[in-house]
Amino acid sequence: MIRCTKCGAVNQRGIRFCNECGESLPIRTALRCPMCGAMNSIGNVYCDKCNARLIPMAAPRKQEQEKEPQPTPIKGFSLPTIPLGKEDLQATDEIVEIETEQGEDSWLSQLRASTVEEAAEPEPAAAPIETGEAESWLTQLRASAVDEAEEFDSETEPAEPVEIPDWLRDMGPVRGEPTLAVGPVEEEIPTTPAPTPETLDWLQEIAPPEAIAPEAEPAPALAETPDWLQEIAPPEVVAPEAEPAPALAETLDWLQEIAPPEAVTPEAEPAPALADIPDWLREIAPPEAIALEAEPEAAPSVSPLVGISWDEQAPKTPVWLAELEPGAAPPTDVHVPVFAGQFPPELPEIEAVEAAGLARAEIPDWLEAIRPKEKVDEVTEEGPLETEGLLEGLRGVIPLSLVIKMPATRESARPAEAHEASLARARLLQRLLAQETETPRAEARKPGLAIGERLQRLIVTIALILPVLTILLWHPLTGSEAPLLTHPDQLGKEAMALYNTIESMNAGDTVMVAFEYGPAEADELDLVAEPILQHLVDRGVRITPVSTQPMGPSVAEKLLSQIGATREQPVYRPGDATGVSQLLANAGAPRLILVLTARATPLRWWVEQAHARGQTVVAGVSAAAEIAAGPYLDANADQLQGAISGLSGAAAYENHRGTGGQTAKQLNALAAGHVAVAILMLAGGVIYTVIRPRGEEG
Amino acid sequence: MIARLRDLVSILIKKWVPVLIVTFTGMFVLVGYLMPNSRWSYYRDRLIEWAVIVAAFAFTLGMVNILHVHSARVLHRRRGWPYSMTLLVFALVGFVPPLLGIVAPDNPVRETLDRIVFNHLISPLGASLAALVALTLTLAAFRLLRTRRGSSEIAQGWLFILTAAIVLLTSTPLIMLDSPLLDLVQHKIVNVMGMAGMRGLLLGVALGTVITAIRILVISDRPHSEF
Repeated sequence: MIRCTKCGAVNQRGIRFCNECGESLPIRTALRCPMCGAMNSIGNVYCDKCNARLIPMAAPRKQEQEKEPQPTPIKGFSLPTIPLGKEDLQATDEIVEIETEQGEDSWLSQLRASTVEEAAEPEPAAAPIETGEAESWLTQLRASAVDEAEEFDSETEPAEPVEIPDWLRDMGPVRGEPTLAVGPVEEEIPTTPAPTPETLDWLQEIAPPEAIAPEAEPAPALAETPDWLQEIAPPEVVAPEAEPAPALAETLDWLQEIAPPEAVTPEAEPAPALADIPDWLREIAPPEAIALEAEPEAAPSVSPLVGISWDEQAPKTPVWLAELEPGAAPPTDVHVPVFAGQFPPELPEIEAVEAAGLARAEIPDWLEAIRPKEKVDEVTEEGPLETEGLLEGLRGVIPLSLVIKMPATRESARPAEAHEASLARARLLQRLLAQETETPRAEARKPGLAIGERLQRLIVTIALILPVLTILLWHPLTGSEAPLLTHPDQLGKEAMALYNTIESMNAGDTVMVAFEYGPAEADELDLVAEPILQHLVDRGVRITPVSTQPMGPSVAEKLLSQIGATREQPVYRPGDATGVSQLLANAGAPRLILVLTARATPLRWWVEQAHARGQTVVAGVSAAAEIAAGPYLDANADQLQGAISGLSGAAAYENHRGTGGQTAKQLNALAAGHVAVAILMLAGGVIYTVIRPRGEEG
Repeated sequence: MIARLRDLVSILIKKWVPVLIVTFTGMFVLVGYLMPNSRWSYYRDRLIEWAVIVAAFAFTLGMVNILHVHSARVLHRRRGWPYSMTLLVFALVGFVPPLLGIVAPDNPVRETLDRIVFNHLISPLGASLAALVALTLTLAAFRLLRTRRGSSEIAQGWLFILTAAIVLLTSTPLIMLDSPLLDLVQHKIVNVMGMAGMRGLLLGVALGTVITAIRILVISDRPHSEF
């Protein structure tokens, strides 16, 4: 079965296209495992041998990808926010989507709904404090907030009207306005327009953590005097602004001080006196702040809030503001901003916040989970100065030690002390590698070499055949006898024993003659067997031809017919030694066993089997098997009663009997051949000893 | 259950039946040789007869296999099919006389045909093969020192050449080489050193045969079984 790579459906083997989705199916018949190389069937997902994965994991389909919720780009709500641009609005849109997914009861969606409602509301009348002031900073703030809210509303979907939490409602109207970044306290950081007070993270940071709103909080609408402004508690609310502060005729010092640095210009008007603080603002100020304000205090030379200029003539620092100073004990459960060093680590106590009438906000679990948890030490750690980007001018914004884990540099381990032998081998290897190697050139096979080999073979053939043919054809060609190269030899001890054994036989005795050779050896063994058989025939014995060779019976018939012996049907028994045993078992009781063979193995079979039965064995072997028959001819062994070997033995046997025959002539030719072979061997040895082949001289 | 029984029968037939046959047959023949004048010799002879029949059948099976292989080669025109065709033709020709001998033993045509095939075909071809062997050996002896490079190798080559030459020249009673010294050298080489080597070979063969037989009898070696 073949599994479709697109839809995963199982299809029958041989199908070109998937039945489910129509995708073309692979033509392969087997899958090779990339790990172990074993072949697996097409349908396998994992290798049968090593369990490695054969089919790579398919990429998620588009639908699945679309369904997957996009991760929310969580911006550190502890960071001062900046007005969102278009890309930020997209993130805001995503946040809106998340809000809708989380449910209608999402507090964020509620915020957005309220923001939308407020954005649709007509512009309220100017605040009393703004009356008469065309360029009040508050008016500008309101106007910029309205513009951004309108812009945001045009791009965002209207949120569902939901109930706004009380604590948020107390802070004032929330609009679908992206928060504004406070920006760094240093002036070179670009500022953002139209900050909205309650959505500024840096401002919220100084508020209780529960009161911190996410960055997606819409900017508040300033249709009327914002409640948050009215109810603003010192640690929670102040809207930083990026625009240059207008004339602050009525601006309160404490409000100016917490305004963003962009809003504070060198030529800013001096802080109004305390007497100019409007009543409404005075009401929301803590009592101690008022008390402090009554007494002008010398402003500290260094403001804990960077960017906030302290005027020496400024009124006494309010208590709640004094708590922000470095000397104050930092709240333990307040979120510490990332801008280490920019803001005082100390934050107002939660109790102070709660004393102002604000309830502790309920932060959702998912928001709580993403709260960055940073150590104080890391905050106080000073890092390098950021020279570009939004964090330009800040230090220690992102501790490099936490972000970039540089590989530890360490000294390379000292090599272990090498053994002398290892060093010697290393030096030898280095010396060998440094030597220039000479690759031997492959000898090209030249045509002349082949001709030389052919000529060589021809010469050897002629040198071998010529003497033999000369002796054989001497008499037919010349009419005279060929020169004798051999002299008649005397019978050896073994041959004499054979002669005597045959001589001892009586007429009518049965002699089993084993023809253990074939046509290839017949030219020599026929000449060896003929004198012996002739002797047996002359003695009048009965010859029983047997053989364990397939061509043995045919050879026996030919030879016996040649010598004129009474021919019996040759007996053939296969099975090597088993056949010999069978022949001996069924042969009755032969007087003598004559083994005619050109190899040592059949002679061994016959000797072993016959001697085990106590029978007499004689042999007629070729010159090559003479050495094999020698151990059986040992007088102590008493296994072979006699034997003749080769043409020389047969010629001597004939000579001894006085019969004469073709054997002597054949021996003469054989001797010439032997001489030729010996001469060729010696000549070849001399030639190839003196004349070396090419490439081997030197 | 049936499958298990089938597997059991298969193992029994393929493994244990051949082992038992070989073991008991070998034991019977061995005892028959050790006690030649007893009842065991009768069993020995009967078992040997059966073995000869099996050997004849194996020989016939080999011939049939050869014919089958070459027939397939000829039918499918594979490489070397003309040589296979020649073999098949002469095999059929060789089958004719024996078949006639079965059908008509005294038919003179059979005898003539048999003689013609053997005397004028098989025997000359066999002799020609032996002659080619002699020529090949002579050529190899002529180029014996061609590939020798080291001095030790050259010395070994010359030792071989001289030994072979001496044995060749003394195997026939040459008139020009009728020397007692040469006869003595030939005797030492052939009857002493050669004989010693041959004795060692025969002893090794005998010992190996005995050990192999014992290992087969005690079921230590099972060359006849798949297991």
